[in-house]
Amino acid sequence: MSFETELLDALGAATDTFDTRVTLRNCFFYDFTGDPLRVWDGEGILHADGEEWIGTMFRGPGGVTLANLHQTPEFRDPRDQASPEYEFGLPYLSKVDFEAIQADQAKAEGREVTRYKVIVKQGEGLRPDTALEFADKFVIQSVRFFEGLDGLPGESIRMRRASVVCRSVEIGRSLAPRSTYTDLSQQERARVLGENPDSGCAYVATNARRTFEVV
Amino acid sequence: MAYMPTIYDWRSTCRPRGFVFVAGAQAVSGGLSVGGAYGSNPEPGGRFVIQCEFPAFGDAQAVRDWSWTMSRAKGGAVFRVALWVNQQMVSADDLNGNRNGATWSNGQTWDNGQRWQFDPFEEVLEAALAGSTTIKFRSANHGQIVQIGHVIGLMDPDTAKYDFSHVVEDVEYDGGPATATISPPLRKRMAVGTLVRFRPRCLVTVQDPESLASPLEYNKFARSGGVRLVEALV
Repeated sequence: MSFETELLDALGAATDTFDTRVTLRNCFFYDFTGDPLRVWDGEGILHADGEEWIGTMFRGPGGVTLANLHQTPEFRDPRDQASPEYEFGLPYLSKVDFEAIQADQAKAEGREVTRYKVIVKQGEGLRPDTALEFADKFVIQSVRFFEGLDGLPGESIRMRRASVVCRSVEIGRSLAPRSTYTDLSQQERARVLGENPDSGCAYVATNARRTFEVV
Repeated sequence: MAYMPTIYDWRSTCRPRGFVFVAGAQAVSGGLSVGGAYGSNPEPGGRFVIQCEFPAFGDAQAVRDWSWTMSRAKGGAVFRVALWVNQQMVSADDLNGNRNGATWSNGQTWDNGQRWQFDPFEEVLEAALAGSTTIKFRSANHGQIVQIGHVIGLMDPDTAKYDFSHVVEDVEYDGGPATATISPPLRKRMAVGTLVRFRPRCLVTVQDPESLASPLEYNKFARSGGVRLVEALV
């Protein structure tokens, strides 16, 4: 069955009263140059769509909680939820990994990150029958690095993490009817899509660089 | 070059007083059901956990082996454990074997009094893909001895280096072959002829290496708290 049919089946109709039990996880495809990475929010290797997805969940100390090594925070949009910016990170990197990522950061810029959703039914193990469902696509803008000391002097630990900043094609857009349109955001959007920017958009109607307020 | 971890053998002197093998599935909280019951959902493909309790080791060799194990475990080492025998394994009686091991054909043991290792197995009849949860194996040699709750072992046929253990969640006997539903799911593909072991081995890491260490009593006896060994995904 397709993802949609599977999910709707599990949710049932408005008048149904059975429990909804669905395991729905994110799968991320980082299309780095030459070394594409596929990860999913689970434990172990998932076999879906003919590919292998590496699980990023692990048990924390004590073995009780499941923690995700792949940090995907809630999407952040300084405007009004119409132009999300995602920052994905890998925390607690070793010095070797950190320097390797720094050396290879050019492989990330301009590449795509695609998020899929997967339904894993009980009894399927790690080989789901349902096809992956496309969710979002982003373009990586840059890789950010952070290195710092944690703890008291003499007993401190050096922490390193790296994250990628990704933007979707909605960059610069806004939902509010009276919002601001700028030619700069139009050109940024063109760049994200890989098109040549158009300087003619500076003349777009009378909305260029103006903010309208209803009094 | 593919990365292959260094695998250390768990010392044979470090036997637990008791252990239990619990298959996959850290549960994640599921929420309130329509009937008002609070349920949980199993994590797909979760790792198995072996909970052990070790006695105090007094023998000098055992303490040395324990010292090595503690230090290795701190580095996150992967250990190959030949699972000790408990009631979760298929019993030696069902396997028509001598749990102490077989002798030579003339009925004699080796010079040092030891016998051949007791390593009974059956063969897989159908190829199975990695990530799937069923395997089909022969039951002609030993009969219908595998039951739900048994722990069985498999070996990776491609490299012959990795061992896996699973709990049998369901088993069906259709004439001869047994079709078992196992947990956790297969980590590697299984080929026809792969051995299903009844004295399984597995690859684990120590969940919390701190739990292995505690000051030697009177500087002589090595004691430890409860130890959790969790499946190593290689």
